[in-house]
Amino acid sequence: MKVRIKFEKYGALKYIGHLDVMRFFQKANRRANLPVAMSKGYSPHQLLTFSNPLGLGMISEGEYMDLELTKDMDCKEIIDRLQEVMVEGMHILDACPILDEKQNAMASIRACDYEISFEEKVFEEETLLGFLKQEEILVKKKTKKGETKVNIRPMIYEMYFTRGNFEPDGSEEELLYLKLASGSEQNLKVDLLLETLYAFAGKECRPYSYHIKRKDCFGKDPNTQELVNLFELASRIKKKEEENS
Amino acid sequence: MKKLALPEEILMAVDKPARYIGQEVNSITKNKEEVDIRFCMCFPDVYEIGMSHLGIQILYDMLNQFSDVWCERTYSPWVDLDSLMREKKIPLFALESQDPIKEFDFLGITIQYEMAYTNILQVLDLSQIPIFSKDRGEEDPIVIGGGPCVYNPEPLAPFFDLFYIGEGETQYRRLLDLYKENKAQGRSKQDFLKKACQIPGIYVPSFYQCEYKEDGTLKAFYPIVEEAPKKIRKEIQMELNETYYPEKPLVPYIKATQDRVMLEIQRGCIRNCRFCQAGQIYKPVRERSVEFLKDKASKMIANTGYEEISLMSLSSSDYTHLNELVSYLIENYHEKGVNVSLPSLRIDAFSLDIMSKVQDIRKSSVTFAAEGGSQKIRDVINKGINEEVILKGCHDAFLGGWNKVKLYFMLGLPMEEDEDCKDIAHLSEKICELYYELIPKENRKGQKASVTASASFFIPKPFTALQWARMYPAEEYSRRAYLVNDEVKKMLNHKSIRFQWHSSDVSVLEGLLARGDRKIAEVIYKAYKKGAIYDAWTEYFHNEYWMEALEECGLSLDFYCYRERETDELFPWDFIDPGVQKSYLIREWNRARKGLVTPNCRQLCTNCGAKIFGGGVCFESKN
Ligand code: SF4
Repeated sequence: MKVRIKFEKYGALKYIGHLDVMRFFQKANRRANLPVAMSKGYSPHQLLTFSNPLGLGMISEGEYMDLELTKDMDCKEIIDRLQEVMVEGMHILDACPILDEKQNAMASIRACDYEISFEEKVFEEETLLGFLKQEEILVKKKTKKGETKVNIRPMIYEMYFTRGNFEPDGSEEELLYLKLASGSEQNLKVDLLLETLYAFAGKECRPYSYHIKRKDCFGKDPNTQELVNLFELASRIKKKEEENS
Repeated sequence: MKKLALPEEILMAVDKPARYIGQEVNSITKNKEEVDIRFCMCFPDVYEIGMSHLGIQILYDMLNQFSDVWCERTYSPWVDLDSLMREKKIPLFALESQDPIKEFDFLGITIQYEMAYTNILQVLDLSQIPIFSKDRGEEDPIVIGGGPCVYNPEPLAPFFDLFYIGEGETQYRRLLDLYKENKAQGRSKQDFLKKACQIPGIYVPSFYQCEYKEDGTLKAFYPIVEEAPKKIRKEIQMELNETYYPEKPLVPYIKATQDRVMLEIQRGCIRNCRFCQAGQIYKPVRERSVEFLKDKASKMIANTGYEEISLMSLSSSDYTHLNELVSYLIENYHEKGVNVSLPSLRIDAFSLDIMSKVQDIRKSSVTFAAEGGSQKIRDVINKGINEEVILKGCHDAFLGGWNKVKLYFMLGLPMEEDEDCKDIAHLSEKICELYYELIPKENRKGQKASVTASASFFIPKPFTALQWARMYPAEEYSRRAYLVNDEVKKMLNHKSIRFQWHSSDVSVLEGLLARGDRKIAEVIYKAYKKGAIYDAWTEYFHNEYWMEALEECGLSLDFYCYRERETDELFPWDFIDPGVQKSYLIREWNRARKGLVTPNCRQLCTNCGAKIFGGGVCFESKN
């Protein structure tokens, strides 16, 4: 059985890098006594994949881990057992079976959404609108051969101000909501976008003047072409096959 | 969200910020309002090394079992953070609460190797605690030193309020009760120290005075307060089955040097190698029962999720129930992907069989701590291993599919001549020849023999049979290393042999610190002030700081390192009683120079003095 686990990572754990999060879960799966399938050989490792790496310094309420289990288990039990062995800053949100076992969290990603908390207010509503009205937003991108210009406008799916809590135990504040292309086809980094926005507004972007939270990761439903989060996606693809058969 | 001592711009700027945030799996958080004593345990080296230390894990677990104590941890900030903390005047903090250590009741520092001495000063300095104990006030934490290096605490004497000599399980409760009582009575730190020095194993250096002879050697060493005892006997936990041992060891996020469960199967060693300090100071050997170990192993694996368990001891092969324990672990855990590792294992049919079960033979190697290249030298140091045994081990290993052999040697041992050094090359060559003789070409799968010989330089340590021996200047060590290297090149199979050696400067300094007296404290302080820190790390080691400091103090390596000492010389560490008697060590020193071997504790008790502790190997039936 293949399951997808959704978790959040916050607080001091934003200083734990992606590889260490993977190591953390390998141990957590053992502490939780989950029957994770192992690869063969002298140094067998657990069969698990993660959604695309979260940058050091970011928190998230939508991280995913896919696990291959050797026996079927009730998802509620998986959640409970894993949550039992978590630490402060790591929290299991949900788990569901992946119907199409070929799917994996890493490869499916097409978009991610974020909330940005600013140390102080820098951008007005109009600035955002003006920024988004541009038909082309060209940024320099380093390639092997040198530099090219890339239009990032099509990679911005959504961008607006909203209100909410940045950290789970924080208080309500104004946040910038972003939904950006992500994954192997098209990828727009939050920092690059914000840098461009600061430049557009003619403001100086000082280091650590904003904090990033990833909210969720999305893949494309092959039927409808719409973006759905990876959790939804785990149960969708199968439907298509069922319809076809 | 938990508060952090370091702001984001610092954490994001330094390498591996995970070193500084705490919150590891199984770390312990208490309400500071609800405890009487706040204790910070420190390993003065980088986090990944400090987290790999079993002793701290044992004490951390023990102290936190006391409901009135909250024990936290700290490590040396890495050089990048070190300079930022100095620049921004951020005080060093404990990982769990992130509170400054200067607010604590105790700072306990484990001292595992001499080259960490400047890091001790770094930790005190960054904590904003005065470096010299005499400059500390009532508000500063009490600074305690422990670990193997405190068997000669004198070079560190002025920096510590007290030393705990011996194994930590026995006297901490008493010490802490005394502290609480003293505090409740509104008495001073000095009052506390006067009572503390009467607890077995506790040494308060400020209560003792040294006098020196004209030649610089120690004339007299005596207590200057009534309460302080003349001699301090080490503390020892004789019953290892009914004592503290962590069931939920800490699991770091970043990869520590020991990325595995550490299971201490026994303490001490029966072997009586004459250069080995651990062998003497942890005497007598005490084993833990198989039942105890099985129980702890399963709990620790379940509570950590580690993929490996390592059986720790000075010489695993001497553990009586090794077979039963290893079989149990392999049977129960190998299928689940938990590997068993056995460092310090003698190579024989049994160990090769185990190794073939738990390792990839093509990738792993068999290891021999031969220590001496010639039999003469191996006899001088009483290393109970001979060429026949080594070659037999290699023979079996080659037939078992191995092709890699690692050999460890020491250079600069007493009685060593050029021929003995060259024998390192000869032994390596014999092993290569054996491989090519034994394994026909068609069975080699394209693999060559691979022998890696590593040499370190012999450093005489307190309480060993060789504590009287001289060292040599760094150039002489290098000459001997090149002698071996040149000889290796002359060997027929030199392409299959790799010879490597340690830095000779560091070895000389380690020797200075190991057998130094109180006068050396000033040298450490001066070297630190010049910038010495992380001396154990080649890339940060600056020999010139130390040489300048020595010179400024008017002290010399000739005196501390390069002279053979007389057996009637009073040593700075002679006030410590490790059980093992000086008369026994003198006997062993004489035998060493005659090349006479001494049997191990299981073959024949040679009455070293450790019987006084009333247990362990000294009272096994054969004795
Ligand atoms: S008293 Fe005898 S058996 Fe005990 S440690 Fe000493 S030599 Fe070994």
